Amino acid sequence: MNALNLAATAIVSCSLAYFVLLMASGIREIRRRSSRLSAQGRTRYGVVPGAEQDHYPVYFLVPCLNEAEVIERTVRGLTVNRGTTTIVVDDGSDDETSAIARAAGGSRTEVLRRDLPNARQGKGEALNAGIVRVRELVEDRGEDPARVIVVVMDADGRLSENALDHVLPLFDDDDVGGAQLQVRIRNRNSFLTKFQDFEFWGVASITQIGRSATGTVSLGGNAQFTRLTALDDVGERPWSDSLTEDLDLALSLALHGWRLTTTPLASVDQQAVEKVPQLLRQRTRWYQGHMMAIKRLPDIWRSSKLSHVAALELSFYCLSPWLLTLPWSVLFHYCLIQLFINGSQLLEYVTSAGGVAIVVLAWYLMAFAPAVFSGWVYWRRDRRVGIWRGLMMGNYMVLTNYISFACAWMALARVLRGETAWVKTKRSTEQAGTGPSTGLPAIAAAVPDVPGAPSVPVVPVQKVLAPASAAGSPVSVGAVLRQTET
Amino acid sequence: MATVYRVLLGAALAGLGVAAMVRMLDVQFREAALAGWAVELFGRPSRVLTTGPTFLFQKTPGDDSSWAGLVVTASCTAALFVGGTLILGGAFIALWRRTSATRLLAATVLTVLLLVVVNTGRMVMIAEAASRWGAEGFGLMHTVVGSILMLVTFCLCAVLFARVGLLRSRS
Repeated sequence: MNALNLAATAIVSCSLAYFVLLMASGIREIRRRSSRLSAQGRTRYGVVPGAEQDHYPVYFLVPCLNEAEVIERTVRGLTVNRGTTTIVVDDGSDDETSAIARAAGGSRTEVLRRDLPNARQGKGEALNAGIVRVRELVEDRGEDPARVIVVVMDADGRLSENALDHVLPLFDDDDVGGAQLQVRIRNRNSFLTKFQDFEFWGVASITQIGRSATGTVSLGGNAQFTRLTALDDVGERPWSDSLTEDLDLALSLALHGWRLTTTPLASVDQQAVEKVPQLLRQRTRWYQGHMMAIKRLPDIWRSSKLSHVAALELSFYCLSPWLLTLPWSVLFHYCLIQLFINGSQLLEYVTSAGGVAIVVLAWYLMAFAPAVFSGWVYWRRDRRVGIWRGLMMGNYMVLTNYISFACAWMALARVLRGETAWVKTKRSTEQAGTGPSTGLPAIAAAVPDVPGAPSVPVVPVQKVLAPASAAGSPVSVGAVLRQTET
Repeated sequence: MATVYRVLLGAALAGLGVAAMVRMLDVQFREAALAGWAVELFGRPSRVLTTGPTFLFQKTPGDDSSWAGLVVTASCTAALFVGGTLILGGAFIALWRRTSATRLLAATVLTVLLLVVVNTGRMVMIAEAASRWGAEGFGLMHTVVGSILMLVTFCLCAVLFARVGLLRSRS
C-alpha cells in the first residue's frame, strides 16, 4: 500500500510540477512577446494574404493521398500567400487529386506525382520526395538555403491571417531551425471535437509556447516550419519512417543543436476526428510513435549540443507515456478505491456545515486545480467558449482520460507485437459554412497528424486530476496522522 | 575511475534510500523526536514516547491535565519519500553524466531536507491547530491544509532537484 502511495505521489507531483512549469512558462512567453492569451481567439483562417515574402523564400509541402475533395481549397488557401511556392506531393492517389491541385494552383504551384510501387510508403517518404524537389528549385533559383523555409501542411490545414508575417521573423535568429504553429480545431460541433479543441487550444498550445523557452517545441505534421539548412543537417532524407515522423524530426533537429520555437501570434486550423473509434485509432498511433521515441534517450543524454534544461525537458517528454500515462492508468483506480473506502475520514473531525464546505471545496480544488485552470485558460483563449463551458471541459478530463489510458495500453500491445502498419485515417466531409471560427465555407478535410499530440501535456494534467482526493492517495498524505489522547 | 566513483556513490545513496524504507519505524521514531523538539520551539512542553513513534505536547502550556499526542504513522512519515529521493538521486549520480556527482548529491540532500522540514512543520501545525481549535482544527489542518502543503512541497521538491541537480552547467 505504501509503495502504491509513493508511486502515485511521485507521478502526481512530477506531473503537476511539469504542468505548472510549462503553463507558467507559456504565459510568461506570451507576455514577453507583448501578446495576450486571446490573441488568436477570433482569427480567420486561409483567406487573408500576408505581405509579399521576399526575405525568406517559402516552400509549402503538401503530402496527399486521395484528397480530391479538399485539395482545391487547400492549395488556394496556401497560394494566397504571395511569393511562396506550393508543392503538392501526390503519393499515388486513385482519384483526381493531382489534376485538381494542378488546376487550383498558379504558376508557383507544382504537383509531384509518385506512383506505385514507390508511392504509399508513408508520410515521411512522401515528404522526403518533396524535399528533393525543393532543393532543386532552390538551386535553380539561386536562393540561400539558410533563408529557405519549408512548411509542411496537411490537406486540411489553413493558416491564420498574416501567419507568415509572424512566423518568418522567428528565423531571424540563426539558431532557430524549426517553428510549429498552435492548432485550432475547426469542426467544433460535437462534444468529441469540442473536447479536442480544448486539449489543443486550451492546454497544448500554452504548454507548447512554454516549451519555446527551452527551444524544444514539438513539431507536428501541420504548419511545421523548418529551415532548409536545418533539414540538410539531419540528412538527405530528414523525415524518418517513424509513426510520428514529426516528433522524430523535432528530436533530430534538437540533437543537431537547432532551437525549435513557436509564436502566440499565428495558428493553423484543422479538422478533428468525429468518431470515438477513429479517435482511438489516431491516438493509439500517436502513443506508439511517442513510446518509440524512448530509443532516442541515449542520444539526448549524450548530446553536447543540447543544453541541460533542453535535455531534461526532452527526456521527460519522451518518457511521459512510460512513466506517467501507463502507471497512472492503474494507480488512478487504486486512488479511487481508496477514496470510496476512506473518503468519510476526510470529514471525520468536521462538525459544522461551514467546515464541511471548506473541506469539500478544498479537496475539489486540490484534485482538479489543473483542470479548473486549463478551463479558465481555454475561456481566456476564446471568450466565445464561455467560462462555465470552459470549466466543464476541464472537469470532463476525468472521463476523457480513459481515452488516453486505452490508447496507451493498445499502443504498448502493438509495440510488444512489433506492429507498425497503419491505415490512413478516413476523412469526414464538412458541410459548407460549418467552420465555427470563421463563418467561411469550410472544406472537407483529412484527419492529419496533429502536432506532437501525445506530447500534449494533457498527459500531466490528467495525472493530476485523478488523485481525486482519494484518502490515502498521494494528495492525502496529510490525512493519515492519527491523534491519540493520553 | 570517475565512472566507478559515481557508480559506487550512486549505489551507496540508493542503499541508504532502501534502508530508510526498510527501517521505516526507526525513521518514524526520529521524526517524532524532531517534531517534539519543534513543538517546544513554540512554547509547548513536549515529550516523546519510547514505546511508539509518538510525541506528546501540552495543549495549554503549564497545564498537566492537557497533554495530547500525535502518532507518526507509516502513512504520515516522510521515510518513503526520503528513501525514494535517495534512490532517485543515486540513480542520477550513476547514470546522468551531464552534471557533476557533487551537484547531484547536493540536490538530493537539499530535497531530503525540504521534505523533512516541511513534514515536521506540518506536524507542528497540526499540534498547534489541535491545541487552539480542538478536533475541528485538527481535522481541517490535517486533511486540508496539511495535504495541500505536502502536495505543493512534493512539486517543489521535483523543481528543486531538477534546478540544483540537473540544470547547471557541466563541471
